[in-house]
Amino acid sequence: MTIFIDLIGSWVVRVAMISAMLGIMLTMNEAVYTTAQYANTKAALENVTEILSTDMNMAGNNVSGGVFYRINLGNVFFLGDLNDSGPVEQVNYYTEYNPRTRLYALYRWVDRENFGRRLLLGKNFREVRFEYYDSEGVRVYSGHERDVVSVRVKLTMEVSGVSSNQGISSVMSDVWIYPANL
Amino acid sequence: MGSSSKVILVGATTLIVGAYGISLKKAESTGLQAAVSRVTRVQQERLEDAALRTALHEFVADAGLRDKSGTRKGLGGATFAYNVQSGAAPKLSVTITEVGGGEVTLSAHLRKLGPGEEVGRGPRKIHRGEWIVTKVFVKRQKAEKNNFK
Repeated sequence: MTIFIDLIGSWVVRVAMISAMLGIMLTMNEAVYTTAQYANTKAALENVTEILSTDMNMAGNNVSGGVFYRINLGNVFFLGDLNDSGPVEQVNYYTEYNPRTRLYALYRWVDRENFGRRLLLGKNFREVRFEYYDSEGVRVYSGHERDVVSVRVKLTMEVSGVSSNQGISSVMSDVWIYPANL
Repeated sequence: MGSSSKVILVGATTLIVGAYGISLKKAESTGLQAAVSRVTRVQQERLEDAALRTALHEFVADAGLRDKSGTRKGLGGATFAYNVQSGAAPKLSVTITEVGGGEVTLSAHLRKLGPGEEVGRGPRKIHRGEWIVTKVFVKRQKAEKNNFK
């Protein structure tokens, strides 16, 4: 009788230990996945911010007249010689809303009016917002583009494959860009 | 359960937890790099502005009549070399060498303000006395790494 109790007891212990191991594996796997997705999204967002701020820092380079035009919260046009080659480029950042995913795609389009190439910077933005400010820190709206000396760019990117109850499901970037030539 | 089985079980668990721990650390370091990259960008802008101000100051100290060149040590141990060519349309160039080998080259134009003319009001507008920096072009090489210590 004692032998049977010992056998059953040892099986219970084995099952409990294997379950614990499986539990640890599943939890760790989810943690690694969530953390990796979050970190990759953060890196992707930083790349977008880097491209955007590099372009915007050249706003006004070799430009004699107005620099910003047709500005609004989801769209910005500006002029600047991006590579200091002489001809001034027209740079456009704009968004397209996808009603199916309820997310925005952000595009960079250089020389749009001359059929230049456009670049998709990301298609899983929850928010893309451009705010424009004058030298006194007052918001500037369409029609007063000549007063713009800084741009606040707010980007919120969705972390794909991670729901809000699994962890942080979005990454936000809020940067102020002060172009050196304005 | 034999003692050897227990050893194997404990060993396997430790291995699994260790492997996941390393993966977690790698993922976190990717996130950290993104954060550091942002700080580096802001630091670079400050350093660029400081280098341009220094060069302009040196140029204006001689009333903008002579060519000027020199080197300075900047933020975080980075060094920068500047060169100003005087003349009808003075040109300023600055090369910033970051710790770790990254290099940023700035080329700018200088202009003397006309009578009654005001300096532009942008937050990064650089001027000294009657002289202003009218255009700045920044070229970065290996700038993606955090080279500031």
